[in-house]
Amino acid sequence: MHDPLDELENFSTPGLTMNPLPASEVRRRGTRMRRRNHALAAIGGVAAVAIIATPLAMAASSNRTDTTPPVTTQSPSPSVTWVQEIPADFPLAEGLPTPVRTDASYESQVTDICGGWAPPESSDVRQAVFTESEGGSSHALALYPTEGEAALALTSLGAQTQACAIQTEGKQRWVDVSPSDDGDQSLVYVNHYSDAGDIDVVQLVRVGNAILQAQAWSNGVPPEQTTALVEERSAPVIDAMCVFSADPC
Amino acid sequence: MDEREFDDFYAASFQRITGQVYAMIGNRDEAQECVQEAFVRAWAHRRKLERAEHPEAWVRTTAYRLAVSRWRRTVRGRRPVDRAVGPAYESAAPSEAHVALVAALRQLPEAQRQALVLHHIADLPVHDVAREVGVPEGTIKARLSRGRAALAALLADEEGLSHA
Repeated sequence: MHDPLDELENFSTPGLTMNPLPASEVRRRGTRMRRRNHALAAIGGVAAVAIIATPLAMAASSNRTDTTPPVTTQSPSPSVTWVQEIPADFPLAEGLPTPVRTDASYESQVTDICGGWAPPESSDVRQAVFTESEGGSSHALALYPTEGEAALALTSLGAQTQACAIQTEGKQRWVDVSPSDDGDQSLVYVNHYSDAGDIDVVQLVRVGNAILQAQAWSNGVPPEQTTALVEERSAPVIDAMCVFSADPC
Repeated sequence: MDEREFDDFYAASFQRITGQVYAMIGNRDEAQECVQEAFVRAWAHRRKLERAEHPEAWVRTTAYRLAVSRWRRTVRGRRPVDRAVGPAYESAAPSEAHVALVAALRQLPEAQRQALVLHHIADLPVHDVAREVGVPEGTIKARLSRGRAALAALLADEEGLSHA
């Protein structure tokens, strides 16, 4: 009988005559991918600037004296103006399978065992939802007045989720927190919420004053696989979120 | 990471990572395509790659996630045209033992197969496997133990059948 360890440790790829693309071609494709992502984000950025600049210019020219808050909010650093409206063409549904339903409001798609994220009141929010018979996936994006407020919200949620994960260890319904280093700040956790093996994977990523919630639920699929799927689907959205950073792309 | 460093990294690790991803997913062509695409992404996100403690692990994880994602699209019958496919290559017929091993690996639960490949083929210590997969070391030890036992049983069955 073969020793499986010997078999594994001597694993080779017979007949795998590698003929990969030249490194220069790989770099060329990588550069093209990067430019495409930036161009997509830049289009969103231009739209955002137009959306913000127009009412400000109108307000200035009319010398208005009312107390309506401005569209933009200054952070403690006077040089940073945080975008307060999601560009109309922001690619929130990018990465999700079709058909996707998009709304300018938020409805939680997550079965959160420990209480989860919700967008702040009166913030600009958008949600894209894909549903299938054996699972579903969604992206939700919300803008906070400042980067500091977004960071605080995600830090608080991270602490709350970590504490909850410890409290639910060994229970029938439990939460696992996974390592994550996307965007400026991120959090990934898995809700195991049914005896039938239903899970809800939640990824929260902050870039500047924006927070993206990417989510997927599945049944009978290993959590690592569902987590990988959520991260794969959210990657192009996270790339495009650079329009919300302190140094926009 | 400048161009020369990337090219050296690519040349040194492409075949190794492809072999590991192949062992994880059981399909050589798919493994090569996913690793190729992962290197394209590595160059596109090279600043992120520079911050990664283990660039090879970053590429392997990305390739594996791509493979999982493509598999799901294939299952749904809506897989798009591959974006990063190298020229066709010839492959010699693998040995019987090799085919049996790949077939046995494919029958294992995905988590056990991933742990076995990273530990025994990629030669990563348990600690590094745990970090790459994102679970505690104890979980990896359990997966390795169960995976080895299952693999031994599967290969024994295979041997029994071939001698019957």
